[in-house]
Amino acid sequence: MKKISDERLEKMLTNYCEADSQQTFTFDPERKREKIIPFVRFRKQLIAAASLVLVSVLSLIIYFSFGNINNTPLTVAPSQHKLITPSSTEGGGDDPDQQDGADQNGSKSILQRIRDFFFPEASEESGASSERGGSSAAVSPTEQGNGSAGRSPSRRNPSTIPSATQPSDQSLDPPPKATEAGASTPITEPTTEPDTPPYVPPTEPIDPPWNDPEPTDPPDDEDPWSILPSEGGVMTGAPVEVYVRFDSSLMAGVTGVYCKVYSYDNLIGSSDLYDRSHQAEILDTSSQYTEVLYETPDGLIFRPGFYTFVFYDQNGNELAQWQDYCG
Amino acid sequence: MTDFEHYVAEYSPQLTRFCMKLCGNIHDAEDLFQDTWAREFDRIDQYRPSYSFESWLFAICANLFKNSKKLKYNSSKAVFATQEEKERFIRSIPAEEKDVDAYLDLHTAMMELPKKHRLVLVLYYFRSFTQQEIADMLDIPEGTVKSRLNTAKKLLKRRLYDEEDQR
Repeated sequence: MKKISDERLEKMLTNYCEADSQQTFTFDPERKREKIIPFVRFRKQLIAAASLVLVSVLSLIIYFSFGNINNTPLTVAPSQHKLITPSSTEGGGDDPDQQDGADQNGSKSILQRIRDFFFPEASEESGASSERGGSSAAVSPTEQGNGSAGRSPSRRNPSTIPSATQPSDQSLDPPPKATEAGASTPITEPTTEPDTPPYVPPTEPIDPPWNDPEPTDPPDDEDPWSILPSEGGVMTGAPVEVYVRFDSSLMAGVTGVYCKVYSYDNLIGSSDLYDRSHQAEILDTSSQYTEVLYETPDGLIFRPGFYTFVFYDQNGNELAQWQDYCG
Repeated sequence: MTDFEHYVAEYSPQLTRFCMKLCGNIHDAEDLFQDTWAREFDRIDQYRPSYSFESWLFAICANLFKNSKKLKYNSSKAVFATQEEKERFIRSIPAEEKDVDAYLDLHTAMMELPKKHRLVLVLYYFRSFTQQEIADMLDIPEGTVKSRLNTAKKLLKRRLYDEEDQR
């Protein structure tokens, strides 16, 4: 063992300083800094890159975790997609998050695991709510297996549709809301939509088309002129052409011929003398006869039977009558 | 040539060696060297000719080193950053000294000293400032300078003793 003395240390330091003072090596103050040691050269870049990677990883973890919590999963696994299809008959159609917690332990998010570890009660409640989601599936459009299985088809069964005078609790239930517990599947998934919209019972009976007081103004969406076979009608209200010919002496001073249509003494045409929709067309006028063609308005005659056609001039003078069977 | 350029030309070699002794590697020393001149350039208007420019320059460099963060100017643990640097150090050892390894150990031990002890040691032995000047330079009591100087020498002896013992 050899111990260095104070004198030896002093001498070494002195020699070291003298040798150092003879160094002529100097830096250039204006020279651009050049670092050779890789760590020194890339130290800032390495720290920045490491920080970027760390932030990226944390962001991904948070994004995936909170994405699952907010029921906005980035990807839907094939098994999950199968579970949420309407054709699935599995009961308790949990949303993807609840499915993650219930039967896919391997796909649990990190925050979910942490939450389950530190708050087991909360996780149990979550599981219970998941079960409630199965039993209260009336509000979940994706669930058809149990719970509301008897209710949902009843809405689609016409025989059970309540009338307006007999309201039912079932029909008055509000439609399922997407924000309720059982319906928290992604709204962009088309298969989670209800099969049929909730039935709204009619409040007023729809009048049959044949009772329409204004036959010339039928509704757009119905064909009121169609006759039921039970009533014996086969006509569809097609126009009826009536050809008449009368003495030309009656046509003196006549500029227009009009027609009134009667059915069993009931006027079914227009009461207006000058209704141009009931104006007949003068086909030919000779010294003896005048030929007139009258075409009933579309839909005026829709029932088979005898009809009386009364022609008159512009002044209301009767020119001729003609009775014919239309059918 | 301006006054500042004159100062740079005159004191750069001394400042270079001083920075090398403080930092231990050429890269950190170059940073400290350039930062010192940059600080000098910014404050050249505050310099009063009645005061020693050398003391003012090294005071700025010493305080830059003292007040810097832990890893600044001390980023590398390598005693010699390059082989050329080591060979240059060996060539600087006096010819009558046969034990080159002892000087290498001394250099290594100096680089392993804490910053505040290394700073006082270099100012005292390598720049030949008095303890009072060092106290004024670093704005610390003279007794603190003495204490740090003794502590630095004890640490060097302990390290060199251990090196000798291992050898």
